[in-house]
Amino acid sequence: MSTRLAETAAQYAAPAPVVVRDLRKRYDEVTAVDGVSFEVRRGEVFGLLGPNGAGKTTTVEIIEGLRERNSGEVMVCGFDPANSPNEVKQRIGVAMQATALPDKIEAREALKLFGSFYRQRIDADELLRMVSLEEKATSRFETLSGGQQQRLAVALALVNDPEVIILDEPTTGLDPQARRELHGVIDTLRQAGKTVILTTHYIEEAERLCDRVAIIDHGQIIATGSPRELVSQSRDQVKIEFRTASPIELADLRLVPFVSGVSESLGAYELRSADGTRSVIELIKWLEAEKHELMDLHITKPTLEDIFIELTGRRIRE
Amino acid sequence: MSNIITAQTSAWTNNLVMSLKLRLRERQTMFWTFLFPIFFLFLFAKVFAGGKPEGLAFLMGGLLCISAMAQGFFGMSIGLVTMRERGILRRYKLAPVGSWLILSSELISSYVMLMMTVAIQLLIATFAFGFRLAGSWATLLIAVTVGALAFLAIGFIVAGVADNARSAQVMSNILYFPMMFLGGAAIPLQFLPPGLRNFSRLLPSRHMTESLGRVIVGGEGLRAIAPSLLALTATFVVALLIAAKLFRWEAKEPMPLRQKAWAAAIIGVFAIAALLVK
Repeated sequence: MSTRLAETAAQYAAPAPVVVRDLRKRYDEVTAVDGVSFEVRRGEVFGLLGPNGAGKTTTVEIIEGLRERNSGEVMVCGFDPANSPNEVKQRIGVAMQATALPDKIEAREALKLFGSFYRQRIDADELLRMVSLEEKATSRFETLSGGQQQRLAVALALVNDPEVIILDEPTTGLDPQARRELHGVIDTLRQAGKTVILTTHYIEEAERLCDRVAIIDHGQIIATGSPRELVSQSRDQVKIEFRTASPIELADLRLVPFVSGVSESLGAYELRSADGTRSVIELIKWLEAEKHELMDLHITKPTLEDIFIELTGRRIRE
Repeated sequence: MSNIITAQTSAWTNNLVMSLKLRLRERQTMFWTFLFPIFFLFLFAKVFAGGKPEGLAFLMGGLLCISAMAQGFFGMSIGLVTMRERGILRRYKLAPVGSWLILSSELISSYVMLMMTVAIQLLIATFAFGFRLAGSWATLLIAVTVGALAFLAIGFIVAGVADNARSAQVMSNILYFPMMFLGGAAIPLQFLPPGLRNFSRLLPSRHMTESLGRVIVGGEGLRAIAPSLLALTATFVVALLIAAKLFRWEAKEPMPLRQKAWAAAIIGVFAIAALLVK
């Protein structure tokens, strides 16, 4: 436990590999990024979660040195991408939304070629193993499935053993199986202690993969924190749904501790509680004491989706 | 510091080798590099020259010039625009490499492909149609190289200006056919009216066809064709400078009007200078 604490302390003491302060970017009439600030800590998977057009890709493209900013500060591994793009590029690895490679290039060839562009590089076969593409080493890019192409893109992002890995919507357009495989790769990166920035408009993805998430909408960050923290800030409460063999008075249910609201429809009762665990324990005790037979019990926690709706007043995919 | 340089050198070699490998794997390249030029050779030798070796020698300069133009416009420029359109250049941009890496490997690999075409055309001409070279092979090689570089650099300008493969195709045709017919490559200059003949001095195809003809038929040496080679070298340098300015990594990145005007102005000044210099 103490080593874990020491690690955490070290993580906070080390300068953040990516620092963005008050970043702004306009395209003609449209303000794509409107005062975005965040820091990515060493060894964390940091998510930028937001709907399409929220400014996620523009933000990461400025970090990557692909796009110029109008104002604000950006530091990546101690370098400003606007002034030292090549120093930044040496230290980061990027997988874009859709990575295009020549049709006829073989997977291993692509990794060797792009590896040769950097001062330091990882062996191509080791990279193929990391993304489970060993069997596709000599397959041409055009023959790979969408998921395989995307995993090769992630391998390309790792080719220079980067300090920061940026994955821009890596799972968009993939089928559920390919998405799960890619999630596995990202999990491996997290376990290896890599610093990752992941942009996504899939809430489940942010919730499952990210240590911390910044919710971004209309070019602004509207909340930042771990998925758990964000959810706990929610006004929404835990929902407890259950059925019993015999009917219950709603007034009795109001007496269950922490319950703030009760309702009933077609014999199913619904409680809203500020402390789901305690309420459930008390509810079961009471049902036992009153000889009500419990038939079915469901507990629903608020999700990042609820937070998103709460903060923006709409669903993320509209 | 030294290991940085090593890394850059091997990056360059690797990219060039890969560019060549990828070209050889494309079926389309095989058509344009081998089948189409062989078809043209047969057309020139059998139909235009009537099967006579002297006739073919007379036309051979134009034929090699047509091969060089086809490689520069249709081979290279459309290939580069497609790489940009499909986002392959964007992938390159994420790595610490400069545009020179792309431009130089595309230039050299296109040149190598063209030399394969030229070699095949000369071999078939020599062994199947009795083609005889009056001048030296070394001079011919130099003249073909200088001419090829000029067309490849013009191909880069097309790639820089065109927003997609379709418009690169259209622009290539607009340049290819006038250069082929007005520069003496397909029709000997004597058959053109004097006004057009004068205008043709602006066309690199005329300089290439003429210098090759003087080596092939006249047996002349480097000194005799130096003015033409100088014109082609100037075209190469100016076109390459413009192309470097026009280079774009991304299809979405629109080209500023100022940049287009700037490129047009340079071409204009160059054209006027070429007309004034006799």
